[in-house]
Amino acid sequence: MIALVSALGAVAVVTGLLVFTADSMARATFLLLGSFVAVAVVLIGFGLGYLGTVVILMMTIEMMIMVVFMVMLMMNPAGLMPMTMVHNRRGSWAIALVVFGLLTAGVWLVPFPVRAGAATGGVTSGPAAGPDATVALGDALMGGQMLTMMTLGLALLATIVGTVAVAVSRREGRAERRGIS
Amino acid sequence: MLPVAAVLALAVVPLGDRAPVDLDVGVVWFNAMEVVAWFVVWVAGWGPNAATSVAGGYRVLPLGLAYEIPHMLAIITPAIAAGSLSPGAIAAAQHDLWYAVWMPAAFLLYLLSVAAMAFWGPFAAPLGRDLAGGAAAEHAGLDRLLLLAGRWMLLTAAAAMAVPLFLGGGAPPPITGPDPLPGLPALWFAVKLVVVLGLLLVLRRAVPMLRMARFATLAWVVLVPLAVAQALVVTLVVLA
Amino acid sequence: MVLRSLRSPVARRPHVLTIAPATVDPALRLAVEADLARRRWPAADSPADTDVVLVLGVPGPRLADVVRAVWATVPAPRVLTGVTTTGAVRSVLDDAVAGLRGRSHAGNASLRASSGRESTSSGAVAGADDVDVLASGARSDALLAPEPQMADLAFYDRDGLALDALHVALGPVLPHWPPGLVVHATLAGDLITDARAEVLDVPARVGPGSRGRSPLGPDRTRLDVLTRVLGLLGADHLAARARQLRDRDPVPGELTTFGRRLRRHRPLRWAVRGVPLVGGVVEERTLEQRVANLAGALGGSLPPPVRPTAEKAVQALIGLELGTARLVLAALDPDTTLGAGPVTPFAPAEVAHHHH
Repeated sequence: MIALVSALGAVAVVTGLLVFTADSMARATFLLLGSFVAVAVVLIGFGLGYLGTVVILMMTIEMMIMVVFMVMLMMNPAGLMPMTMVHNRRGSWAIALVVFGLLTAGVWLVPFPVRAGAATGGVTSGPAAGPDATVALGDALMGGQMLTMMTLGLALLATIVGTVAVAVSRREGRAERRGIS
Repeated sequence: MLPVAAVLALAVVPLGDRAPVDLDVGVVWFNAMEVVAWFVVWVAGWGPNAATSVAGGYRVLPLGLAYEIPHMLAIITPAIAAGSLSPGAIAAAQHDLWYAVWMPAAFLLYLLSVAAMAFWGPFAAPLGRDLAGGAAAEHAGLDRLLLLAGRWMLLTAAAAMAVPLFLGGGAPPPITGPDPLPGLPALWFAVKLVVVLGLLLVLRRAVPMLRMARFATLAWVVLVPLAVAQALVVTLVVLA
Repeated sequence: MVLRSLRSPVARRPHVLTIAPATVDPALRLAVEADLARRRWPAADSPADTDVVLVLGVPGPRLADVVRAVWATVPAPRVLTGVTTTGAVRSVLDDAVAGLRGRSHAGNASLRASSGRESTSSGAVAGADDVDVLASGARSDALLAPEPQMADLAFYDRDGLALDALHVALGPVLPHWPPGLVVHATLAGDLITDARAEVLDVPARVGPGSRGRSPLGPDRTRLDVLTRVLGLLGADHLAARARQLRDRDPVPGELTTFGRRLRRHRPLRWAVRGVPLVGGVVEERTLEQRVANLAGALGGSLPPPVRPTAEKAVQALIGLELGTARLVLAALDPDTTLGAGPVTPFAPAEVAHHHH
């Protein structure tokens, strides 16, 4: 189990690095998706089936949105020309090192709770004993803010639907005709 | 890659009384695998480096985003009613009333999205004839076989998921009284699958291929509110 | 071998890609389409989907280049053949299917196996070298550019965004496409932001010619247009019915019934709604009106529908999404025998991309 998790972790890191060596948006997003899916499978391995599956679902949709908008509209025509994925190298290095340092420090400094019975400190194999791990994680992350977040999510969805409805009724018919001004 | 997604999606559908892989979050897994198909078709369209096929790949996104929200709401509605994300448990919860009967809007939305997730029939735009085959335009030989066979497999897998979600899985219809064919859940499953596929063929015949702009409008203005309303009604009934 | 065992069903209902020059005799085109429908052979979507490439009439030098480029991308087993007279259609197609069943899996062996005629006089065989040169998947740019750069921005669109533009040539080998037409389009995403028409092998402005009147007669012209529009819309059974009515002599009652059925078809009306026809005649300012008029006039005594020049029809595509533009072009049914109008000639290098 630990070997599998480590292998998937390595896959996630390597594909994540390859993102910056790819020469097109499409390849970069493909690699990034590979990285996310590896992380998601790690989550499933930890017994967080729901979270892992949702990560696959959301990240695939997210990458699709990103790549199609990038290739179609922003960066370069139809992704048919190679381009570099890297800009502002020095700043990026600085930010990356600082964040990595903080997270690594966090891993070693935060006192992880030791589960009764399986005292391996952190990674435990098999499904979680006791209460549902997804529920436990959700409670730890959200706690008392759950109601706020759910209301917020609903409000966001309503806003999206409303915006689209308004935009459609305004521009229906006209939008397609006016290609460029 | 598309057949792989279809097989992975089919793996959690209870064919008969139990699923090949009985995942407790089967519905979400199914949804995730079906979204992998978007990426497959996009890559198939982008890969050949040709204008018509990449335009077919572009169409995956408006189509996908337009059908996905009503689709998600449609599949979580039976999950809310059954109180479980496992297709087997959802099928078992319908022993006295099919969900297709008491949540018809969700069932119809699901049927629409079955065609949409396989990029088939009215939703064939990403592989449309107007783009000379769209994302499939440049693929020949084995690639083409895999792409088109994967599409049919995805359609069948999605139609198969309708059976546990809305038609009571491998159980006989509640109205027949005692089971005339005891011990053959797979047969009932097959009969219901054929019915769902027949409904889809009727849909393809009745509705021409939809332009993405038109379908996106329909989806966001009509289908999403409909799906939200259906989910709300079911939730209220379950809570009450 | 799997491929060999698959060959016989493929040879039974081969996918046919027809390529017609602008000057093709409409009677020949209709005869071919009717015969293909009788055999239930599907039309190929793209060269990759093709088993038989069928060249109608006598292509000029430019179209011959296109035929060669298309042929280079057709996978084996394949047959390239041509037909010039209505009477020969049946025997040419019989020979084509025989060619597919025969030694065709060996690739180029069966090139133009069927007709003894020099109808594809163009038709020098595309060799292995051409495949490398003409395949649209070649990524030659990557080899030329040593150091990739951040992509540039192009022009400002209606929302004030700077988007990139892609220049493509659409046609002349696309399903339901006017014969011989090439649209040189600029795309932003899938939106056509600029377009120019060119008709291969027809000099610009050959004179008044047919004045936009189809030699087919009013009802058959309408049914021909409707066949293409419905085919593009994926309404296959309606398209098949329109083609059936076009290819025989229907009683007027059938025509009016079909026209009424189209006009009352709600999903169809909904699918063509909201598309403007720029430069159309006064009573046809939208695609919906054009289709309704074509359907409504079936079996009546109205004059035949107006067929614009290629140049005018292509101007109407600017600002439309690709798929919508295809519908508009099919509905306008430009008369390509008139030529496109004044356009600058193209370098031969661009011909390679014309099939897409």
